[in-house]
Amino acid sequence: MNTAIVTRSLVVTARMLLSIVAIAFVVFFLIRSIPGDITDLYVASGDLSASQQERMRSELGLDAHVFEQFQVWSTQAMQGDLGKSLRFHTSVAAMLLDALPHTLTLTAGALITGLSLGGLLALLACAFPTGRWRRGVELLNVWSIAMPSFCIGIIAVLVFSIWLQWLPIRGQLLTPIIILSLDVAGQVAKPLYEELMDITRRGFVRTARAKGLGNWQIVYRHILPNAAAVVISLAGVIFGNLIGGTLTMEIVFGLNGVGGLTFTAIQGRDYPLVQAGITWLAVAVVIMNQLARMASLWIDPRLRSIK
Amino acid sequence: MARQTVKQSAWPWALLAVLAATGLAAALGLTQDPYAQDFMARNQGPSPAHWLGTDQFGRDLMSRLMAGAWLTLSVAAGATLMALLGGAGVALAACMIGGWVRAAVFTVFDLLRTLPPILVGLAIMTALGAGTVTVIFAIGLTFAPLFAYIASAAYDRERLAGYAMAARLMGGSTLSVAWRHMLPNIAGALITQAAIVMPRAVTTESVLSFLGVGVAPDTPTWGRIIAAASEYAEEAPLSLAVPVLTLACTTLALSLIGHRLRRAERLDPVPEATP
Repeated sequence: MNTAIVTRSLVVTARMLLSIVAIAFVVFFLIRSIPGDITDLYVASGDLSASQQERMRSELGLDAHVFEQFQVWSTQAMQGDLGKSLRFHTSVAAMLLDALPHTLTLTAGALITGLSLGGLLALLACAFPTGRWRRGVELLNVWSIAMPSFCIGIIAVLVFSIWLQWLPIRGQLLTPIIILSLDVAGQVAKPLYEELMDITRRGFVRTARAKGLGNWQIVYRHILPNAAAVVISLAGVIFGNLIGGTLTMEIVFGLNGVGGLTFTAIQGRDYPLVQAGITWLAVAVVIMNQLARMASLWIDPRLRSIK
Repeated sequence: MARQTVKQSAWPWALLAVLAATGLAAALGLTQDPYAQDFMARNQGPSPAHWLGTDQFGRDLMSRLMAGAWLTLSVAAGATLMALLGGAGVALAACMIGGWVRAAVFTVFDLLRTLPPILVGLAIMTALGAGTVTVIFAIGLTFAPLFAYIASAAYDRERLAGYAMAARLMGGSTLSVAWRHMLPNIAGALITQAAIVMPRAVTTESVLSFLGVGVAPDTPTWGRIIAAASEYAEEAPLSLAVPVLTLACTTLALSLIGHRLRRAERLDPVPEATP
């Protein structure tokens, strides 16, 4: 066991935990800073008088300092209690858990399809450097940078659901997965292609060839492990963008995932749900990012010495 | 070695010029009133009176799109400018103070960079409420780290460069060295980054406005127009298609400009096939 990896992994884990606490607190603080709380809603609807409002506030702990409130909230959150939805009066945690499979299907589907597509395209562009595949890599890259998935999603709804009527307007996963996977593929194909081109020119590939290794063995044993490091170092950023994309796609295509739920909650001013939804998504991104960092450390020894 | 030439086609600039001109025309009030409602003419198709038809309140879509060009681009430009000045300014200040201040500031930037802009925007805008100024602030904040990293990398690189040493030896304070000598040196990289951020700012504003937390409900940015039209997608698909395509073409044009600037700057050198 390499001590450098262990130390670095510990640092990464500590940073991750710190980031999660920071995010949870900032989101908590932001939601608390919205003018008016639940009791104001009751007063506005005429259910409470001013003195009753004060009492209810102190019963709910809303008159405490924001740090104390956060302490209470985070203790409960760690026990899996994220509070109750103001609108549906059900447990927020249960609602999010119900929504999670939809989001996971969308994210995982897009990630797997996108990485395969991008990887394949980069390999083809590297294997046949005539220009056609390379242009494909370039085009996909510009596409993923320039075309907001939000616009493509709406255009897809207009074309396939309203004009051609091939697919239902809401609730199908096919188009969002295709759109998001193109996005992922575009982000991964170009850096991977450049890395592959760079590696093939390196000395160790020539040495491997001189040793008499076949093409497959060179690719398998020497080129791919190096290229994998690039993909994994990008994974965090790609996952972050993907979560942003998933959020938008769930809303455009009316899917009941975590993003769709959070959006409905924002419109309904259902703040416990908004807070939990945003925190969940942000924490997912942070965890994936740090996992990618840790994986890079395991795979790429060059990174271990860098502070 | 010859300097890598970058193929330039003119259409992104032409499109931007057209958008700027239409936006200006709308800002000067040369179009129909984008807010005027006509309940007798709701969700209509194109006609001589309304070239692109009307929305669900009978407002002229063409005028709204033109006003939207002005608003959308100026909100995005404002956010990009805020990200540039805020990100680079805070980063340079943190670098000059150094020590734990720098570490703390960059931990925050690191975290902010990790999170998707839409999520950060959603959290901030939910708390602050929809509005033009708040949306500029929220988007500016999400993109500030991108400029901060350029500024800090440049600071570390240039701090010991000959000209910076010379300026310091001649009695320049840290601040004046950073401002008079280092900033001009990294201005090019910052401007290129701004060109890359600009289309993303346009998209982020549109998505936030589409979600109803961006600009105020009656402000006709493209995101708001799209949000309104998407409720009537089946009755009036054209009122949805036109703003969406306009938005897509705009981000494409802006991205291509940024992409080329970056390649010209060689921040991101692309291996060119040898003929």
